[in-house]
Amino acid sequence: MSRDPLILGMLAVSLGLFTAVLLIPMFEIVANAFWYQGSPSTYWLEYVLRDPFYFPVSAWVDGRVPFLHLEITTVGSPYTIRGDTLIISGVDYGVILNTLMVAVTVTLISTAIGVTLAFFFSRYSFPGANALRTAMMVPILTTPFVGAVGLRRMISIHGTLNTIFYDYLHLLPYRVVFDGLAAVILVQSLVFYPIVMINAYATMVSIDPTMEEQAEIFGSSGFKLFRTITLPLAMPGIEAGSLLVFILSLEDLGTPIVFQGSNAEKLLTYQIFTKIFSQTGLILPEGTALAFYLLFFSMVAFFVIRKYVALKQYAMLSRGGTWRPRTRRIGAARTILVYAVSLTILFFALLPHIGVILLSVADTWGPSPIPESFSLKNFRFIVEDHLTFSSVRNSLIYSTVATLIIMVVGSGAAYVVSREGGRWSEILNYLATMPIAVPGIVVAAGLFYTYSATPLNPVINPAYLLTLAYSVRRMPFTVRSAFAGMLQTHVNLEEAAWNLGASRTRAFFNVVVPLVLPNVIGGAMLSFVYCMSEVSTSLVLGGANPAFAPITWKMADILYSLGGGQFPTAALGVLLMSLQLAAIVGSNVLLKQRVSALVGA
Amino acid sequence: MVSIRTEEITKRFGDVVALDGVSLNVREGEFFALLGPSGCGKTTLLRVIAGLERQDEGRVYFDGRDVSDLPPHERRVAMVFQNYALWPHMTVFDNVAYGLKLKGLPKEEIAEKVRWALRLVRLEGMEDRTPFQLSGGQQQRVALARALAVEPEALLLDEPLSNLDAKLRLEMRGELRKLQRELGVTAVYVTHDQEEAMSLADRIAVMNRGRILQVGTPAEIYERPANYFVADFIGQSTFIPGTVRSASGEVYEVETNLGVMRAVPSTPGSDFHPGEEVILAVRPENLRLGCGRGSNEVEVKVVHVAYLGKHLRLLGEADGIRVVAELDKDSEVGSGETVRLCADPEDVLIIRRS
Amino acid sequence: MRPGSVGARTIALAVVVVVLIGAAALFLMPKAGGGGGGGRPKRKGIELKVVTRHDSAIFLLYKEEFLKSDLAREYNISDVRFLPTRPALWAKTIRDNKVDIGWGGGPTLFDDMLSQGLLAPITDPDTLAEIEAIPDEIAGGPMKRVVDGQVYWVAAAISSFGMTVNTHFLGEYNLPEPQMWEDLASEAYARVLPTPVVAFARATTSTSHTRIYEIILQKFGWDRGWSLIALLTANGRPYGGSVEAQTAVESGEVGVSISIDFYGYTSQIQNPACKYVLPQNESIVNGDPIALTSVSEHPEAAQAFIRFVLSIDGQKLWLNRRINRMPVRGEVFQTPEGQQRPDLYERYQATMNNIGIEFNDSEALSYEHAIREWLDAALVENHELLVQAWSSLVRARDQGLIDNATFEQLKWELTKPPTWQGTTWTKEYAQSVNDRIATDPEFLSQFRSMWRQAMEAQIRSVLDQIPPTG
Repeated sequence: MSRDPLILGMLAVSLGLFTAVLLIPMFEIVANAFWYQGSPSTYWLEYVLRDPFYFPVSAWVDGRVPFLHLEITTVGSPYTIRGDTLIISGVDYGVILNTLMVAVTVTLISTAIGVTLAFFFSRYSFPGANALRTAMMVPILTTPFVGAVGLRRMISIHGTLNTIFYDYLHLLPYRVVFDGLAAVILVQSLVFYPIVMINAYATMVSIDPTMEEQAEIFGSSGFKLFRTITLPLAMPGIEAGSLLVFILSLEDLGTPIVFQGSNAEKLLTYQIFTKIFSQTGLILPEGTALAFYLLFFSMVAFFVIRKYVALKQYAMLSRGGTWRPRTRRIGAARTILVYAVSLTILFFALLPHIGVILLSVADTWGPSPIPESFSLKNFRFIVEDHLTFSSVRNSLIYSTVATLIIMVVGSGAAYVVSREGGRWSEILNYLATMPIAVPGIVVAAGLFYTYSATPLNPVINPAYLLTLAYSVRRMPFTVRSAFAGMLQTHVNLEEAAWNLGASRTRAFFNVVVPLVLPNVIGGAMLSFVYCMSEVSTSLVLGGANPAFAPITWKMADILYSLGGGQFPTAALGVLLMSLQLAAIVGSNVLLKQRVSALVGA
Repeated sequence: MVSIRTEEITKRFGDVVALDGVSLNVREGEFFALLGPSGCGKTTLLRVIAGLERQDEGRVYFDGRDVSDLPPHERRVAMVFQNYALWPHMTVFDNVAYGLKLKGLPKEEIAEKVRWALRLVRLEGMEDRTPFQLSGGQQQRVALARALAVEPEALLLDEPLSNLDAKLRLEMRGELRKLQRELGVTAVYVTHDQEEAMSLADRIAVMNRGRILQVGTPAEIYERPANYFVADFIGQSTFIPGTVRSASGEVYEVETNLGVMRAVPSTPGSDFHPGEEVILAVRPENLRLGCGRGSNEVEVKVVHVAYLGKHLRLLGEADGIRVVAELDKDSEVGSGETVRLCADPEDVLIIRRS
Repeated sequence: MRPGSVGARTIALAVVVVVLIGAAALFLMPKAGGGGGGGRPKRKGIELKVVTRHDSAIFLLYKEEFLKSDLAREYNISDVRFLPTRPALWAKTIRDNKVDIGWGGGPTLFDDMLSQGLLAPITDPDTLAEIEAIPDEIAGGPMKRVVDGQVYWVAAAISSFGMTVNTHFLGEYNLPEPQMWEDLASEAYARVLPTPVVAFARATTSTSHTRIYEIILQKFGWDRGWSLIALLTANGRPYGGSVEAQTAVESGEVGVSISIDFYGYTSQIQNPACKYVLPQNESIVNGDPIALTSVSEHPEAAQAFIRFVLSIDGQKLWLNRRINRMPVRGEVFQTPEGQQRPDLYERYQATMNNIGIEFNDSEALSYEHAIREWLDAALVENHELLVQAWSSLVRARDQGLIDNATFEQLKWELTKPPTWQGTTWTKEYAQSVNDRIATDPEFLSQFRSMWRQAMEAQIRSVLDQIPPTG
């Protein structure tokens, strides 16, 4: 580790920020879980495992084969048929198992969808392929709360889909309703598959074509070629995407909230959200024990990504970027098949967005497939209602300042990690990308608890904590792209400057910054967008003093207020979607093919 | 211009010892080459001199001044990197002017020096181009101009020609040497190409595995290799292992499987005692078909004869030993034949086994 | 070597832009307060801070009218800022922000603040005079909290509790309209399960629904009350708050929601298919308080605002068409504005005439924390299982697999207050643990776990006794 002031400065600032805003709050929460009646104990951790609400598994050993017996008590059945309605809500295995099972299922479904689509787009060429590929990524636009509301409008018992396919077209034998855990799985799979798709696509496109050509010479082709050559080579990229989806599923708070009242509540994020603070504002150790488990699961997945996947992936990607893709034209029949599969997936994936758009331009919408009357008043509301307008303004301010912090600190961190080796660099490497794996609710609760007696007290003014929380939670996007940029900016370029008399700091600003700026800005755009749509800390901290609340808090507030709150919330949702779209397009333009580096490990 | 001296430089990368107690003396104004196979530590040594790597042990002196603790930007040497390291976001002018700007020179003076440097490398008129708009050779010259513009006390070059095609490389070699002589700047030049080193350098240090094996003029290195590695690395040789039997004056009698040979030490003045295990090295051009009085003889089975225009190259085998000989182009030798080759004692060099 | 890299001038420009944005951000960064007061104060006067549970429609209207009034001028009040904070954070918000006034949120929230020493008695004589004009109680419900002769809070508005029904939903499923609380436990509703008929909120997130549960407990007695509540929940679905529940009935997702009256009235306006039902003689009148805090830095100015709210001019504002709440001072209906709202006057009279039950406020307070957590843990967290059991039970009887007597017996077994390891869920027990629940988080967790398991065991044991149905 060099003793250069630039390096030390960057290191100090980055470590300081992460310690204050991430590590200490996390520690506060986790430490709480290890305390019982005034002394350290694993009581609460065991308590959670012993309570059948969380973990209805009893195990015992007796003489009968196979000697270790497990009994799991479940609630509910996978589906129920009542009259003309088929309700699919999933079986409840207790909070902990539910969380893991949902995450695994979502990961499998997203991976299946993502890999299939990636294969289509990386190996087939057909008319409109580029447009279709871009379209398939649209579901990545997040619509917190109102997206699920929009979805519910579409898939509820008298919603659009049932009305069309059951009442009008008589295609379905029953009205189909998704609720509870099943609904959560459905929504999450449809929202997260683009992540796997992007990663898998980027990897498949960068596989050395000669590897496949080699196999073809030996007679392998079609699915066999895919299975034996392409898929194994693309595995690191796919795994990176899948594990990311796993983590995101574990941490998702927004979806369970919308399906509350069903067994969707029996997921770790929801339980923590409702149980970490008691009615009288005290921290409940039960909640912190749950937070510990959630953190534990995320961290394990995160470390698996880092250790086993990230290295391999970079090795693949660093080999010169994009190749000439190995695509072949496909016939009409196949093209139709590809479109059919893709558009079906897209249709379901876009249901929430369609629902949101319809809601936003609706005047009234009772139990009919589409609104009875339309109006733009919901958008006017955003501007006219002072509190709503100020929430938009608040979010813009917090997100912008946070993004600035992210750009500065993130570039610094990426610089230290890419140029220096050693222990501190490794630590910073983990810290800078770790926030993905720390559930927002844990960060939020921790920040609240840690800083409520300081000048940063969120009850007085949550603006500061929110901005800091955003900067830390959304930094990984920028760090990754900055890092990729710095890897591609050979250290020789800096050495040449040093050699000619520039100090390290000057060389950094003269040489490194101009060359990685596009990468940093590209990553920063995504960071900005995800700051705007961040949910957990916004809810907990913004709720501490609603006058300063960001847009997502306000969305939840309006949504759950009387008099058709769905409609203005949907308008806000459309606003968010547009911002995200603009940022993703802008980011794409700046980074060209490097999108995978942003959502990859 | 400075002289450069390194004293017992050691550098480790984890478990790997890249430089092992390297001591070196480069004279003022000298063109000094560091030659060796990849991984031998030559680039590392260059970077230590530049201050881009910090040595674990040892000191570096410029003109007797200890610069070991100075950061690179205070050492006043200029480096030309193997990949040129031209800044893509700056024009040729800005690239070359960078070091000058750092010195705080007035604009007119900078412009003048930039033009001078570009003239030196024959790239006048290219000031406004960007690196993409230049060919490989042109980029290399810009890198050189950039280094020369600051009028450094020493010029460090890390395989600057290795990315050029053969013809350009030869051309640039000449220009480089000419420039160095004209400016009189001390130059340390890293290369793995022995021909390049031999043709450019005043003196060469042959390196392997972090150590300097021999320092000398090209002639010394070629004709008097100090050890097996140098003898093998530079040019070609036939190597015959043997045991020293006796000495008379400069000439030793060495017992080998091919008979008793009369040979002289490669490094003049070194002593070998009877019973010592040694290796005898003979350059191909010193093996002849015709034998004189007092010369050593070997019976060689010819494996392959190559016609190289100027001469024949004979590859043969004698009792398991690979023999390389350069014969007159009209010699009549065919594969599969057995011939008798001879070498004079002063052409058979004794080197130590290790 | 990368195409499109950025030159020095562009970087400089970017830096300038970034710095400008940063500076603008810091400049614009929301400062203390907000919520209706984001602009600069017109003149340098007193800024009052009010923590409230009222809707923005309400407080924005009051702020506008108040700032125009003579009172505001007299006391040099230039701005009123509102902090719409959730109940769990009221104490902290009041202390940390030096809030002047608390307004709206129900009597229990205010009694809670009082018990924490956060309320100050009204001392200003003019305000006290206004308070004199307000009745001490209405239909049994307290309109003031007086301790040792000092007035700590006064109701500014009143409400009753009932249900909102969605006639469209009920009609479609051919279900009877409920008139009384006990109708919510009807077997008729069980027949459409798992489609929920009744919307209700977790007691821990809704003060108004908690009130309704308390009403049921006091009207029907502890044991029968809990059985009723359990059946109510079994017939429906838990929502995150009273507003979510109301939205559910308004949008036709469910057929009935328990609700406070003004939610019901608003729903009626929003959706003609909705109707607010006041259970005859089964409801109470709740006063929604306003109070001065003990940490206020401007007690005289704060009391001026309170005076305004309680004055006829202030009370008239409740009649605004976007607000639709009932004033605590009935004489408001005799004013010109009051006479334009005969519909509200009708409801006011219906509420007054609703003799209601004998509601014991202090009893409700004595076990409130306990019952809220109990309902969450035992009923909401076992909801799916409870629904399964109840619907199977009804089906079994409909299919003739069990007779009426068994049905009634199992119904009672299913929904009665359970017993766990010797302890039964009784009123005395609830009162005994009430304080500990509020102050000891570890005990709270254990309490919830215990009763959740108790109820689960009870439900499962009944499930085992129900023959399998088709």
